[in-house]
Amino acid sequence: MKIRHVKVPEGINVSRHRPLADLFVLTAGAVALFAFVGMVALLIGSYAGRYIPVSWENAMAAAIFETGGTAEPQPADVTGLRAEAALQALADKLAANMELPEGLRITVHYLDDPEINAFATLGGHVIVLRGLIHRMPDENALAMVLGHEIAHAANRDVMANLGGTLLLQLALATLTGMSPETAEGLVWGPNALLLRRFGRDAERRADRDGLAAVAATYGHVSGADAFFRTLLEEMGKTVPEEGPEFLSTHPLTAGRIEDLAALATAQGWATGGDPTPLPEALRNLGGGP
Amino acid sequence: MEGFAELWQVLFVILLLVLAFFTGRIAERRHYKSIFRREDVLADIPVIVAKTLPPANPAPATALVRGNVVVSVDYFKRFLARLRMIFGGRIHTYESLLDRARREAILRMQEEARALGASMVFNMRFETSSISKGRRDAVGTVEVLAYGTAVIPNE
Repeated sequence: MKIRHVKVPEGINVSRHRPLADLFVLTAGAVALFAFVGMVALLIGSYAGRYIPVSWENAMAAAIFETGGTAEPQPADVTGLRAEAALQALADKLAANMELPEGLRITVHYLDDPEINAFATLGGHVIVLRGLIHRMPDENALAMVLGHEIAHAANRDVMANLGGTLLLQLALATLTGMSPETAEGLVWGPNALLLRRFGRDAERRADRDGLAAVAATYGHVSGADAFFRTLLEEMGKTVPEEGPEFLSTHPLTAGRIEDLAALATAQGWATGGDPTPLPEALRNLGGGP
Repeated sequence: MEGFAELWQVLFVILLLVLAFFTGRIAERRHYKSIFRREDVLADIPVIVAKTLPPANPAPATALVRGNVVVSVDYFKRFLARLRMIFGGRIHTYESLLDRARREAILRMQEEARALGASMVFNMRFETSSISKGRRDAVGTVEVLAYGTAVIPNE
């Protein structure tokens, strides 16, 4: 037996390649794939979310709001309780002029916080912050904000958002193999552009429905845009310019004021009228910390 | 700003990628250089996989020789491999990992054989195992064991 030494040939077991070119092509492909799958998941989830029965939504909300969860805002004192009752009365008045899905009841919570904000969440729960009430010159202005938030609940926007977000989260976790917690951070993170873009149409619709409720309740829409005017003023103080519209959930404020005015003209709602003063319980709540 | 946390994470990944690209490249080049050099030096101890040797009189002495190596790919290569796993295809970056591991294992075995004064190694076998197997997000690390029977000619 003759034994010969053979030098290991190169280029057979290890093929030559360009790692950087590979990286760019594969990354671009992966980004495109994720964006497509994410978009589809978001659309399907948002669509399906609106068809989740109201009773299920209420049950979900009950799990958060009635088991002593931290999500329930607690009115601090008698002032808070009275403010909450006044807000609830105003919401009921508006809701009577709005089309709510069967079984959905609006519950308003007052939150003792100086921030100028209000939001709608699961099960028709609407949260209004003290800072916002302080900035409202009259009941009409506050009614517009409340009407807008009630419209979100009535249009099932909250459920659409939840459905879309959960499915997107699931799709991301499945695609990347990352834990659902990590995916949650990505999806709910401040950079979720997809969600923001999706939210804008819902915001425009909520604006229209809210204004319609104000018109039906008061007979005119005078003063309804006070909230947006306040926002504009605030922005003038803090930041010189608003960001590009694509990046914001809420359509640009100046544009919304114009949209509302155009809608009022188109619908023939009276734009002049005496403002209704704020209920006693909602006056002098203060805007400080 | 809450957005900064995510931004830092992305920057950190990019930094790791850039760093690993260069360090991994240098490490791999150095290793191959060493492999080429030692393969030439140890060329006089051939390694074959035949199970038996032709009968000889007197019978030569034999001994078990082995070479073991644990080697890992860098962050950049692992990142590229994970991307490749989405679309399929050859994972080039792991090819060199296994090639280096197997050749290094043989070299270490040959070095042991030379220390014993062996003329050749027959019945050479490989054992390969993934050390990072089963651990999520672990760096691709393999262990390769090469072993065979060294033939030590009688003086």
